[in-house]
Amino acid sequence: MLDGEEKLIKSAVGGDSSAFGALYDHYQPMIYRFVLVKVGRREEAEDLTHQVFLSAWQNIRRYKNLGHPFSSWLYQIARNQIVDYYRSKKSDITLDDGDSELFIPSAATDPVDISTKLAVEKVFAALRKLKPEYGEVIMLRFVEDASLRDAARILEKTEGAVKLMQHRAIKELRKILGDDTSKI
Amino acid sequence: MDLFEILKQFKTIKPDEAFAEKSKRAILASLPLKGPGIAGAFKAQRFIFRIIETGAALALAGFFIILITGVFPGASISPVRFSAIDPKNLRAEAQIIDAQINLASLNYSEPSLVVESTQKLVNAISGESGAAESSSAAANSSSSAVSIDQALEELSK
Repeated sequence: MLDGEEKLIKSAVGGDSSAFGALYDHYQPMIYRFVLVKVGRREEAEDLTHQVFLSAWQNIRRYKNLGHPFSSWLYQIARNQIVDYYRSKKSDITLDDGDSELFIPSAATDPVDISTKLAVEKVFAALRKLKPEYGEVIMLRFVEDASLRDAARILEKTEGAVKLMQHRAIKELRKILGDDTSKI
Repeated sequence: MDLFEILKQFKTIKPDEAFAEKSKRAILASLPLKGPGIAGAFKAQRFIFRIIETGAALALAGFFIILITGVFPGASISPVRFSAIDPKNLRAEAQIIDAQINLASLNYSEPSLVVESTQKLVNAISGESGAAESSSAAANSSSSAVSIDQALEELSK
């Protein structure tokens, strides 16, 4: 959570664009990663992320603080955008599309060695093969460190269901990776 | 390397900085949509007005249906009964009036009836057909004088 987030949200709801800019800077990479795992292509992930924040800014006055983090609202918008994306692109997408243009996380190359980069690429590809909800739960719980409560809120499931789902997702991911994650 | 450690490395994935900056500028250049302020209040007002309008229309329609058919659905409403126009009472009253009329007519017709009966009795007693005329004349003359009591006394004799 961002320092002074409540104040920033209040200002943004009041129409303060700089406050929303600060929220954008903090949450944009997180939403981008979430979308990227779902769509697999960098350009489309960028476009969708842009749409998510544009929609968030345009509807910021409707935002109500119900005790959930601001990120859960953004994730909700992102999920809706992804659904719309797949609905509109349904006829264009083939089974090969996801794998043919897999995004290689360029940022991962800078601070880490090549073996880590390869491992990230492999897990990323495996994530894309998972059920969409499994990919989501892994991203939320193990990448973004979302609490069970927040993940349940974002995925619109109970905490128990999220627990079960994350267990199955990891099991499935290991299966796809061929149980050799210790080697990668 | 552990799977969870690899997943943590995903945090290093970030969008292109140039894109991020461009996107941010484009978003903030637009204005947020108006919230549920005045427009929302108008919407609520219109909604309430429509409910009232529909309710009034339904009530009017129901009223006219009742007015046309004269029947309240689901309710058996019988006409108001006034004791003054109750058929039983009316009949009873009519019977009383008839009886009074009979009695009144009795009073009026009593003397003539008595005279007739007396004359018949006298005729029967006398048994004389020849004297019928004289006795009838006498009866006629005495009809005004002979009272019922006297006639009865005569009969008893």
